[in-house]
Amino acid sequence: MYWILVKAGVIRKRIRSLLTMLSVVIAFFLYGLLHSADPLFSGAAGEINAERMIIMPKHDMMFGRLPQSHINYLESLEGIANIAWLDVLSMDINSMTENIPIFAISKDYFKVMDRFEALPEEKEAFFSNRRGALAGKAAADIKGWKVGDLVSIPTFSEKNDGSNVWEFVIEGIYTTNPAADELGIMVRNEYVEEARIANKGTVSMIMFNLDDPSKADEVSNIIDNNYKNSAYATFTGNEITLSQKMLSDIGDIKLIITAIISAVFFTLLLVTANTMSQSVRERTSDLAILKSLGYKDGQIFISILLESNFIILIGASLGLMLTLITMPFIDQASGGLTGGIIVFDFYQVIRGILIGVLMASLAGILPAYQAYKLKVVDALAKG
Amino acid sequence: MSEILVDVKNLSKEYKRGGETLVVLDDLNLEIPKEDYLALMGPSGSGKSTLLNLIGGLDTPSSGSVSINGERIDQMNSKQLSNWRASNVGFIFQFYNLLPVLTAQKNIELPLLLTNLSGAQRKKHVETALNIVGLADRSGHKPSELSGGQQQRVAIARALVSDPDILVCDEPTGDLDRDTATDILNLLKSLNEDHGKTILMVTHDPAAAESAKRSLHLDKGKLII
Repeated sequence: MYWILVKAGVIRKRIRSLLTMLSVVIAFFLYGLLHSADPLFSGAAGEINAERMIIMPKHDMMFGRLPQSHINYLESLEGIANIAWLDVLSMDINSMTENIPIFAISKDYFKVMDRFEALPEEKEAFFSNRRGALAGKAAADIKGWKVGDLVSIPTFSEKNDGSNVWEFVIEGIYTTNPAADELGIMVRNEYVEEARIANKGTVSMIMFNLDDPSKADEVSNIIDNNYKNSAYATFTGNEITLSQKMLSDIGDIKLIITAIISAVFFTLLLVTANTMSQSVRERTSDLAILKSLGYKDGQIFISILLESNFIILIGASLGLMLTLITMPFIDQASGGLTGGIIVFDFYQVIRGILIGVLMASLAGILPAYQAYKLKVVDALAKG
Repeated sequence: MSEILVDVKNLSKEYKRGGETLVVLDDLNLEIPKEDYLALMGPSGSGKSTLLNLIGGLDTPSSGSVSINGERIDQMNSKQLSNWRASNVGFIFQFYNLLPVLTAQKNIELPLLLTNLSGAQRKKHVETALNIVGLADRSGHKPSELSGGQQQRVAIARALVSDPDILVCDEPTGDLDRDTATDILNLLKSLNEDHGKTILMVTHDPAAAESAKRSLHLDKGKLII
């Protein structure tokens, strides 16, 4: 029974229904695209987790330095399981696919940052060669690097021979999740430290594991308080906290995106509610006739709500489907770097559908109530 | 004398407009036997349509009673009235009031969607109604593809399809030319004579009134015998 009423309502003004549906498709496509980047803004993309602790320069996380003496201090603390450090030798964030960043890592890096993986024999070859390197899979794919290649990389860091072009031998390929972290090349920190002129005795960040992960806050406070008034003040936190802090240094992107989506949905709500209201007004005599035939007020109320749900849910489903279809193209266009970062999963689809149901109900409830209260005699008298 | 189908006793209907009370029907009494075909005439504002709405269960009286087939419909609530209308009364309006996006068949089927009939049973009922009104070959047409007379026939079929006791017609020929109006009146007459339907028709048209078995006149809310 309801289907015929819903169908009659929807196809009465086909163009209007289609345009309304199209606006819903676009809104939910936008929702899908923006929400698929959620892991990026929550700092929990891929296998980034809260168990790996990182110390970074408090006042300039991207380009600040920490003295190696901080590592000595860390070693003196109790409950620290593994310690590693990393130096970013060269990183132009505007052209990372062209100028692959170089990460000079310490010996225990893979113990602490165990989400980075490489074949054991390749790791062994890497640690046996002073100028050895492990290329990220994404970087190797982009640059066409393979094991055994000698690569020359221009940097901002000058070597003690006067050149700023560094040469390394690719000993292996590393992988990780998110795939964007494969856009780099890992080299030996000992070699870099020995060969460079500037920034000797400093590192970009220090990472460690705790014997007891529940003491993360306590240990972080001890470290940060120790360097509170130092020129090399620290910000210590787990991998997720650090990701979030770095993002918040740029701006509250998640808030901005949430505001955009909310504004889109709010506008859509007004548009759909207006469309439904207009549609019910135009159908006053049809609805009166239905009531005269014996249709109850409640049945008319439900049919209007279902009509609103039909328009929004069809539009929402198409919009979400479009997002799912688009995802592989986005990943392809990024060279596979969005894996683990741009994720649109079943949970987000369900959440989108539920938002659709909520919006449809809100958009339809007033027109449905108008129809519910419609008096047959008055409506027929007005024609 | 046939059995009484519609029994209206001391019926009054008043409307409040601003501070004034407008009496539309004033202590009206009326009996309509089964299989009667009654035309109600009178000037505009005399209360014809109001009486029709009260007998059809679309409105409730200010006082008095309306019994149809022994049931006091004036005492029913909105939900009960809806149920009652679905199976006891068929409405035919001046402007046909068909749903424009549905075919003739789907328009006629609308009252049956409220029943427990299966799709096949509903289809059978619709075909029967279409045959009675002579539009079996137009079942797949939408209202915009039908003439005024054909649309009114579809409306009559929709009123008939649930086999109600009484057909309530409000100016059923008011929007039709003379020839088409005659066809419709003949159809109503046949429904009354051949199918035993009780018909109550409001009309301004003396020719329409003549096709009924009897006529009553209303003026200022009172029946003039």
